[in-house]
Amino acid sequence: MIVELGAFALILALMLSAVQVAASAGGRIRGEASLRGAGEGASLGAFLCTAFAFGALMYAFVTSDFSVANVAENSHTEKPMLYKVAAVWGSHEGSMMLWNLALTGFGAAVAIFGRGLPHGLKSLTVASQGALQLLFIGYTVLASNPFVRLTQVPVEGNSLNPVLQDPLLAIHPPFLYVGYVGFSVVFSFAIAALIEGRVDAAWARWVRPWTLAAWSLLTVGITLGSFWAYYELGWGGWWFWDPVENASFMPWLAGTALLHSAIVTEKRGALGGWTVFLALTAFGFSMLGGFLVRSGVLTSVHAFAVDPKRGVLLLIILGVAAGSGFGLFAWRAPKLAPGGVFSPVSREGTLVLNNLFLAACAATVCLGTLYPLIREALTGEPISVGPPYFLLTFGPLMAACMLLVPLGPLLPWKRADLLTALKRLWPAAAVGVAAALYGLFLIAPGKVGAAFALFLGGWLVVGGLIELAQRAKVGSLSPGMSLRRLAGLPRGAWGMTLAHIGLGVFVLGAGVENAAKIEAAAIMQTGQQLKVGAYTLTMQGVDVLEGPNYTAERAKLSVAGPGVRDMTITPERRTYPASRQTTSQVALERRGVSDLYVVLGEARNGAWTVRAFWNPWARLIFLGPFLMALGGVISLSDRRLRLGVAMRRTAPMAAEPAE
Amino acid sequence: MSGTLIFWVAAAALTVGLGGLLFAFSALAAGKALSAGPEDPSMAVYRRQLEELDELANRGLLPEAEQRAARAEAGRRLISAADRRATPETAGGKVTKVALLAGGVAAAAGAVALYLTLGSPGAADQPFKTRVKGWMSSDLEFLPPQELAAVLRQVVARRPQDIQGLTYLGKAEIAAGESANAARTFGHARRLEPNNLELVALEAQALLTESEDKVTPEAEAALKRVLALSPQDPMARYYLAKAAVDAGRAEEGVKGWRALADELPVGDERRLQLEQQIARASGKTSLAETVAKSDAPAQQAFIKAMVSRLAGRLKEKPDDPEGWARLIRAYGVLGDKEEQQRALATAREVYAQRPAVMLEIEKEATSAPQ
Repeated sequence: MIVELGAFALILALMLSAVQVAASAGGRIRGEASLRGAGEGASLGAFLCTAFAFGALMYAFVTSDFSVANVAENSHTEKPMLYKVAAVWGSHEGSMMLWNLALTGFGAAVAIFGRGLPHGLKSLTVASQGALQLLFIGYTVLASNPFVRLTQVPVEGNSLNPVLQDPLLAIHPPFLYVGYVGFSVVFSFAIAALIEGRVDAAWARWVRPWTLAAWSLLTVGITLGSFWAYYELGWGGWWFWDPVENASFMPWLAGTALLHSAIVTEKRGALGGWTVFLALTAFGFSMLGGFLVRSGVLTSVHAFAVDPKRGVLLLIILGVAAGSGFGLFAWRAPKLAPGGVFSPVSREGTLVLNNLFLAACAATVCLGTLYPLIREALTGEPISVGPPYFLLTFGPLMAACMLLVPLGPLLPWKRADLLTALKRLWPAAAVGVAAALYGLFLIAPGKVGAAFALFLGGWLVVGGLIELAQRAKVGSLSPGMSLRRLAGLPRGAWGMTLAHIGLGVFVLGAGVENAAKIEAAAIMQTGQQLKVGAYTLTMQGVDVLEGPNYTAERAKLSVAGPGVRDMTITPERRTYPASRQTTSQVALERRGVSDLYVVLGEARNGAWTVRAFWNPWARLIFLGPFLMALGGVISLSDRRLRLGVAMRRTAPMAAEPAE
Repeated sequence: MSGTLIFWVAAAALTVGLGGLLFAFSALAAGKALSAGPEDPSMAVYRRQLEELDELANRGLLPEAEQRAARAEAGRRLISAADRRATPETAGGKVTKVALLAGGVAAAAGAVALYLTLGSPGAADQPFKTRVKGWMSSDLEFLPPQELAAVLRQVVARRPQDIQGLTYLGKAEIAAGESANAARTFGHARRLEPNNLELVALEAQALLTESEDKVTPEAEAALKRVLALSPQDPMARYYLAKAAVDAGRAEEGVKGWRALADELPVGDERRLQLEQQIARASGKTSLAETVAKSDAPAQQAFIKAMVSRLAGRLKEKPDDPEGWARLIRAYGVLGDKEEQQRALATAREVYAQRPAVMLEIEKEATSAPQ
């Protein structure tokens, strides 16, 4: 009965979304509070229904109810509980449920926490969110329903791809989805602003917390996914410019640009039209990502829920949603009031440049991702666009953008003196050059690209620190005073600096890992050795172990090298009988911020293939983005972004956080 | 109360509850509309911006010149926002209430209608545990193998040392076509009783079924365990010899097979099959050659018996193109031209309406014998 109630609740959510659109739009047109309120109530109701339906589906997975087709196809009684839960969003249908949950959740959040918003803007935002819900829940109910029941109930389920049975992967999609869908709110705010014909500083401040939240979650989601690919796939890499990875990267790039342009709109009232355009684009890319993963146009390790027929439907939804957004933009944007003026050399100037670079980066990635698909569709000839393309096109654009990062925060608004700011940055340049020379001669001799990455990393990290020192007036005040000033800095400033330093940390990691990575492979019998970098691995033998739903061959390798005494690592090769698949469990031994990465391959005549990597500074690749996301969260906690505080004077009850 | 009734009561409660939520929000907003001031909410934002600027300046975090410029700008925004009045909002009258009620009812009716087309009203949940309980209380003898295996798995989970339970489970898994699971089950049991020949042999068989008769390293290890307990075990000897042949050590494999064949009575079907495999492994590929080489009249007689069995079967079930091809080819191999022609004629009669099939049979029959 719980399953059927879930099915009913999902349909109810669809109907409530229709009420949400009608009542909210009606409330705006007639200027009636009771209609607006009903729309908001419907939006909360749609969320509660979707949450109930999601819970019911989870219940079916947890109890292994194979009368539900989706459970029978994607679960198995022997699967550990965590993966039964994660299997909920492991399929096409289930992932749409997660998408809908986030979509209605954000709609309800606007309805409940958006008390300080102008009624018209709020009604239209809730209505637009409702329209998106209609499209996506409608698609789920009619074309991708997870509650379809089976008359012939199988005894056992069909399991889930064992590569996906991993704790990180259980939490990676929720972050990614909530991040993707978080941009839907920004999209709806943009639609509402276009209809209202009003994009000003206040609008930008209302939009910024949602952008920050979505961006932070998406950053975490992408990083978790990348870390998962790093240690689970056993290929030794962390980013493959795979179309599905790019699909999550495009909204991130647009969202990053939006985050920066919204600051200009908020502080100076300028770039309003562009900010709205980016808001539409960010969610447009999110929907494109959702389409690419599920449509069947891609074959990839991540394209987990492929179905061409439904892909066409999703393409239509994408066309309708993005098409109406951009159509509205083309019609209404020229009517938006222009904002404040500024000279090219100013903080706004660097932010505009940053936006140009980020937009170009997003366009490059988009072209590299879609061109092969379009070409293959038109000519039938498959071509592959790989890392060389992205490094040649995306690389220089991003590098130029990064050069600007420490400069922007040091420039005042409106008009600035470039020379003064550059003079302040000389320590960053000096550290950057030293890092580059260190890289060029010691870490990766002769590799100019790596040296440049080290320069950029040093420039970004030290540039961020200089910016903090500048604010705290380190040097011109007593250390105690400087510390007090630091402590008194708004959280937004801390968040920004942390995010910029995080970017530097990432660049350092990516540059060094890329240039100085060492790979070795050998077929090893017991007692044989393999050298990788400064470490020597000795095969001690392979045991067979029984896991909960797999059989594993576990190799024991002793490691000798700098700072290592009596260390044994145990890479595994797991065979899942239920799906007849094999996965490798990488032995990942962290040494400082570097990784010793060992993969056990196939056995042949009593010997095993062993591949080993020395990935120097690899952990920085993942630490950096987490710092960036943390920066986003810290900014989000800045009381200036909490409208409740501003509202306290007029409405004492409205002192809720978030908004 | 029946399940369907409980379902509809719960669904109705859910719908009515949500309707209540909708109206509560509507009434709340209407109530507030009456008390709200005419100020545009962006005023609050700009006022706050001004306060922030002052606060930052007071703490010395904003240079004075910058503060002045920013203050002037925020002030201008405040003034322009003050010119704009908040969009006036009324509470909403009776017509709205009626329209809302009608909309709510229509949405609920739509949900029920859509659910009736898409859902399975009242269909019970079927958690795995409940289903297993049901199977357990039914007559185990008539339970299909997959269900039986699921039941036994529960039993074994409670008594993991129970060899008999494990053996039953493994056999049920084999019967259910879950050979990989069976291999795991027998392997588990074998580790508990390493000298139990039956278990060791069953594990090896399960592994071979799983690999479709390919001797994988795991299967080879299992077969060696069988041999250690029962040095003459024909299955283990056969497959270990096969493993040797597959691994390119033909001589060793053929030796094993030869020894095995010699132990079998002349005329035993398995012996003939072995001879064939020996011939193939030694590089002689055809049955014809095997037969030609073996002068033993008993073997010729055996082949003839096999052929006549095939002929008998085809008489009963004539629609078997592959059978006809084999039969025609076999007569050829035996050199019995007369019977071959007769078989060919019968086949032509059977397939008079399907010349394409007949063509296929003739092609197959004249191709090199396997």
